[in-house]
Amino acid sequence: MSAAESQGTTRRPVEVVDAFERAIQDRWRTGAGIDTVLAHLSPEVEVIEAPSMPYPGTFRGHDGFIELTERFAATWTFLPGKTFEYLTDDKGRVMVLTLGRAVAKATGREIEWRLAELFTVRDGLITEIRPYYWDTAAIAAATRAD
Amino acid sequence: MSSENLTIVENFEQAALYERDFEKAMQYAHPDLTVREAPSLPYRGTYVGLEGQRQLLADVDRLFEFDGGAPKVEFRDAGDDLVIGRVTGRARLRATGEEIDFLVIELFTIRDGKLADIEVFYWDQAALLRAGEAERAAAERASAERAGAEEPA
Repeated sequence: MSAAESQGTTRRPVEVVDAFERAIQDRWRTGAGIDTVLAHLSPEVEVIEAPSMPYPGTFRGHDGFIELTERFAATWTFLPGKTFEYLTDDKGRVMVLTLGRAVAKATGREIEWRLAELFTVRDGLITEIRPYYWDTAAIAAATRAD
Repeated sequence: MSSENLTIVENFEQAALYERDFEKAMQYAHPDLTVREAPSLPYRGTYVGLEGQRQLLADVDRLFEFDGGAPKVEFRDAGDDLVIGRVTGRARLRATGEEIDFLVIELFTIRDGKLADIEVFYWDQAALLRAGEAERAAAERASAERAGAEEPA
């Protein structure tokens, strides 16, 4: 049962995204199962990463999302102190601004993590995530082993 | 207050982006308005005030032009002192002729009824970096040709 079915579809978009982010953080911290994360995602969810990212392209559905999380986890180690800020118009779009520092596992290079993620929420589930990294060239450089 | 913030940003962008009238745009902004671009971009760093706006436009214009003159921008009030701008459009890189999707998120901070800061997030900088490299290479070639022409035979 999805989060939308179990809690009705009355949750505001920002509440859906907040629950999703909390589930992701729990998974990072405790190794909790992926199901609590997937419960907030539409079965047709799309995560659209830029071509120059170390994990480029469109990741579709729950399987695509799982693949992306595995590639993401293989790419980054986060340093303590990550913060989240939610900016929402409550019309189905939510932006999450994530700030912190991360280390690229392939190179050991540390970068400033500054990411604006645009979420689209429909009927209580996330249908699209488009990440806008502050400096995509710095990400590409940090993760590329020369 | 929220709808006022939206109006401030809409008026600023109408004047700056669509009319290219920066003196008019700055009526809606603090004199020390900052526009912060990512460190890796060809037009990197912080542009300040009226002169900064003019310089940013000149730096951007050197690299690319928008299809139809300007992109589409949707503004959303995000509460507190923030407005989100979602920019979508197509652009042509002048140095290479490459056509690219132009996808940008802008975060506008309002202070005391005027625009104080714009932080710009590009979805993918890669094409702009290629354009910057091509522009630099063309400038170096032109410089070398001028130096060659000035050498005595």
